[in-house]
Amino acid sequence: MRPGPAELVAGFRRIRRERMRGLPFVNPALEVEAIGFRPDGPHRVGVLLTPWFMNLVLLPGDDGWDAAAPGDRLVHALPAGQLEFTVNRDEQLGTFLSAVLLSSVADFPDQRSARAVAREVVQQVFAPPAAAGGRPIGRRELLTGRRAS
Amino acid sequence: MADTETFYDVMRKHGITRRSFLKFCSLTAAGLGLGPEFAGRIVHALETKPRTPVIWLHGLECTCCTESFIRSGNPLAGDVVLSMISLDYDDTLMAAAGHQAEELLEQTIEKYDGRYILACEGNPPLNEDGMYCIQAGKPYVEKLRHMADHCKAIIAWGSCASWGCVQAARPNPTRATPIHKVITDKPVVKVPGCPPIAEVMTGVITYMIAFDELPELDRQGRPKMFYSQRLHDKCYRRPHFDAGQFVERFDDEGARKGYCLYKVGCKGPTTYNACSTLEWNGGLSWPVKSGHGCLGCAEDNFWDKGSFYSAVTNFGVMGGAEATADRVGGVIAGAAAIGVAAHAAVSAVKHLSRDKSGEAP
Repeated sequence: MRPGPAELVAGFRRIRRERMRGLPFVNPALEVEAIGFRPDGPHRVGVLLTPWFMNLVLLPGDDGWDAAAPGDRLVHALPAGQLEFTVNRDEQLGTFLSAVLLSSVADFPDQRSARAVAREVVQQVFAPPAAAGGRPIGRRELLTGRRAS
Repeated sequence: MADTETFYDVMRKHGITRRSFLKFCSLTAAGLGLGPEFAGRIVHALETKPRTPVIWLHGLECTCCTESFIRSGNPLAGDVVLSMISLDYDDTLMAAAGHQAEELLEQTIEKYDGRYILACEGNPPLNEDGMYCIQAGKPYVEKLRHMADHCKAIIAWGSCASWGCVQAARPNPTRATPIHKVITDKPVVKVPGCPPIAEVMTGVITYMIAFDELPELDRQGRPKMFYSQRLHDKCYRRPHFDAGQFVERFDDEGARKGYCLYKVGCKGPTTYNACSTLEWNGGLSWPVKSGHGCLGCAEDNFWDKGSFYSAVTNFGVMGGAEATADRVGGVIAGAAAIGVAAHAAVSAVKHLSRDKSGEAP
């Protein structure tokens, strides 16, 4: 049984309690939350928000990444494009991939505002690049593979 | 005719084969994070555009920028770029010396007035009318001002030229001053780092001479293509940070397991540079990979920010390119939240994407 978003949240709540106590970069206004997880083939993709980071996380549905070393970078195709992830390995959660979305979550005033950004990220990740730019792709662009500026 | 000579002509004269030239162009396009189609544009530009001379001046510095540059991870890049730039003037690399060398400067001004790039390594000291750095019998600051008057654009190599670095550390006895505070009427591209990464240096200089324009800069004047992310965000040890696994003391169990170096002073969380992605010595390693925290050498005033071994306490926005995304939290409480969230999300996702060709010139 591979861990899902609920196990991820439980694991990082424990990390928050046990290892992150008193560290200055932890934002007390935030809590650990898994946001917008949805299937991507056999995998699940969503945002993991904690008081010290906001990452895009890929939870594997198979053992395809178990051979990769922790810290390795893997490129994974999502509707938004070829996104680069780092391999994580946790004693309890096993292997999963993450990509840092924001350098710091220290400035978020509350959970609600951080969650709004996270939800938007999930939308962007599942939107094709043209739609992410707010404009449908033209036929010429489709054929030439280039986008007019 | 010197005026119609192209970069390609110069390279061929220096024995660089067409095959090597083409390989250099595609390596450079990739290094700049541009799509493969840009290799063709670089080839075309270097084949057809008249050569832009590069004058390389040295002020107060240790020559580590030059050392980094000439040891570019890919020797081909080094050879090609050196054949393009070393012809004109570089105290360290040129064959000429003495009066002959100084004459080259005047000849360049005469022939290429307003068209050459001035690459500055180190900075001028301004105390005592600049007497702490004398070249050819004159204060360096005079030479710098004179050459800057006639140049097209300036590259400030390294942390000395960009911010001041160690010679400007408190109490800065010589009043060593970064280039942009001395030359205020020319565009200055800052390429900080002590030294900067060789591939970053060759990338920036090739971009400027191939496309004849400045790369896109952040608000502090650094090329966004190399300085838009904090080391921390692309660090291979980042999963250990996220999981709260820290090195508590050098050589403890955590250190041996390759845990995060935050608690022993790593400045990765506040340093904008490409070390964690490009790495050093041709991608062989970089400080964190060798077990030591980042010193933050590419950041302004890094000598005076306390011990290299004390933990960073403020991860706040230092004014880098990501400021919009970083700062979003502080301004997001109101009704405009969704629009701001969308903006932050777009830039956050864009940073993860491998394909940056959409941002190209």
